[in-house]
Amino acid sequence: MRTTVKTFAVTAAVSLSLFTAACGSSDNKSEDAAPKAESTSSAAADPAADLVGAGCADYAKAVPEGAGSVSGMSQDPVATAASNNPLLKTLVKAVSGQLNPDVNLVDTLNGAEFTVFAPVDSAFAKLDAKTLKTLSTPAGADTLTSVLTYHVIPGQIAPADIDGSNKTVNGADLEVTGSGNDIKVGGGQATVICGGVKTANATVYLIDNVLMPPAA
Amino acid sequence: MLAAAAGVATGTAVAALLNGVPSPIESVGNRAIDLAPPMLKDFAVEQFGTNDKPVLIGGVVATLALLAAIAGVIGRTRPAIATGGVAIIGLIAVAAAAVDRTATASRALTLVPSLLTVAVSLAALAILLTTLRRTREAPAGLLRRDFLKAVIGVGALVVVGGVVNKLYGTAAAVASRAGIRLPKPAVAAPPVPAGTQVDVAGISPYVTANRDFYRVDTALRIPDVPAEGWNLRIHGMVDNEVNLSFRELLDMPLAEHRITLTCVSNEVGGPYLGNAVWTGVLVKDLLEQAGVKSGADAVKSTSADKWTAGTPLEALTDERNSMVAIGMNGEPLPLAHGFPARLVVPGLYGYVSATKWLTDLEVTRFADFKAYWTTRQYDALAPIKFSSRIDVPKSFQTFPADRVRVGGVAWAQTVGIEQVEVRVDKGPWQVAKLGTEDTVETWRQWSWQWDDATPGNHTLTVRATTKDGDTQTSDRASIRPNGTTGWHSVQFRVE
Repeated sequence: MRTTVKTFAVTAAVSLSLFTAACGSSDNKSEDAAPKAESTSSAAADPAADLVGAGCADYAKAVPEGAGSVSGMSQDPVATAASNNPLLKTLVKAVSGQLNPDVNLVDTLNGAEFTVFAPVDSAFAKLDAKTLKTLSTPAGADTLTSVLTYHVIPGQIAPADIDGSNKTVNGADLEVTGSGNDIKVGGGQATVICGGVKTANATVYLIDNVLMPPAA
Repeated sequence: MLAAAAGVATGTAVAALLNGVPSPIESVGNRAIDLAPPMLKDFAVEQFGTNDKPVLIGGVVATLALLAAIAGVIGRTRPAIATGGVAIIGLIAVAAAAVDRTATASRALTLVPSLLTVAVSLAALAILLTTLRRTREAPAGLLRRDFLKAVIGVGALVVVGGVVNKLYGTAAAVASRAGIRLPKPAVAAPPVPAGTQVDVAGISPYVTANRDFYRVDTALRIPDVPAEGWNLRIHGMVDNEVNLSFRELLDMPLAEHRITLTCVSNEVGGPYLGNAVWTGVLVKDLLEQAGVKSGADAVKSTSADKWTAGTPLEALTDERNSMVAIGMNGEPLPLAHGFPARLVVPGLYGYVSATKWLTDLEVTRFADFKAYWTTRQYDALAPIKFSSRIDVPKSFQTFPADRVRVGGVAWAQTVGIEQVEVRVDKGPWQVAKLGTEDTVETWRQWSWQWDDATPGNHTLTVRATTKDGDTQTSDRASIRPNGTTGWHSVQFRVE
């Protein structure tokens, strides 16, 4: 009984703060609020319930509210959600034609269910300048597409089921090992900073390195 | 001791949650929506999107649970304060119910759930607190069981309340709808012409099934509007006010038309459009009965839950088939799509025309009123922007090189689609093959085959041209204030 009490109180407190965050903030983005679709009548799931990774607390601290926060991202399709996240500026440029005009995956990523490994800005910063430059040229378009699509798996995979090997939309397999705060991606190429972030159509795992697909 | 607080908290919260139609929680929620400044509501819709309603309800429930928990804790030492607190919370709920714009039942009936909630909550609190006090005064053991019994008793009441609500809480409109047989329309829709449905695996069906038809509205709970007792009032700048019962509407000459509806919230490539066969009475016939006075330029339509839309009078009286629809794909309107009657206007976004659970048409002037979304920074006039969508390929779909067959839909309601073009990567635009045109009020399918496909990753982009000679712009416009623009593109792969 006592445990139930505590759980209940915590749940109540969390949902209450969610509610006041939504209605008490004056941070209002001026576009897109619209007559939106009625969803199914299921109760609102807490978007933060499923998070794994040592960096989740820092992420929540860096982006406590607004469209780029954990709760904010849960309602936009993945490319839109990412574009609101201040940690994913480079990735957003890369998928939206701003890095390379020949590579624009926004509609495609918004158009079905995916699991996305999203390298944060500091991950892209580790790439040498020459590599980034090549990826922005017409000749680099195929490589950029190949790299980006190696970060995307069809269907949504929750943190509890993420361990294993999956075929990416690039065609190559991507190995994920571990669970909880210790999840490695791509044979140790990257570590999950914060995973299980829900968007309207995709589950996102923030990672600390850009994954390089195996040579074809 | 903490257990006591929880018992009271869950008891009152859940009892309140499960009590009726519209439940006190929803009334408070609706009140919160209506009182909140548009900016805050937009923010909530923005943040929580399709889940804004559950989140709002959750917020009310959580707030209530917290207040109840506090009341429980205080109640252990100061029962009077706790009881007073619960009573005040209850009164807020009663007040919210009293002014709930979504209530469709009589005022007195609307108050029953919240009054009952207050009574049950106060009684439960009193029982729990009394037993608790006795428990503490007596040595541990026997009387502690009394408290447990009281908790179980209150819990049982909550469960029974929930079950009753599930069994009998279903809308009266369900039974009403089941009893309706649509009469044969005086003007039946002609059969769908051969060739409207193009032969591409995975493309949207030409006519959207009711269960797959998008739903976009502001109703926290679907308004429960039985056809019996329903009345459509046509008034305002008219010669004679007209009132029609559902039976009287059915007895008028019914028309049947296929019309493609589109929501302003549809993103480029998005799912918020659908094509259905609508049965109903043409609005122009109804307005003719009433006699429109000169000077009017708009019709303000109101739903049973008091949502409003403003439609240009011209769109309701020109040659297009604007109707008060009572049937969708051969059935009475599904509850979610506006039973018993709704407006359907070809060529206008839903937020300025597609009022569901329709009860009121007021002939008026745009200068004299603002509708629901026009008070929220959306344009008063909102014709559907013509556009096109790729249905196949799906995102990252893989094709064998000898079978790259793609397709989708294009729409330019009231004007018609003249041409659809596609291009692969940055290649030249190529003319797609159009499916047969049904009418200019419906979408049109297109298909294209890539005969000399090269292996690798590719992007397919689509654009449409109307019969007026306008071609889609590549500029991306956001949803607000009057709908999106831009070319839809999808990445795919050839092996």
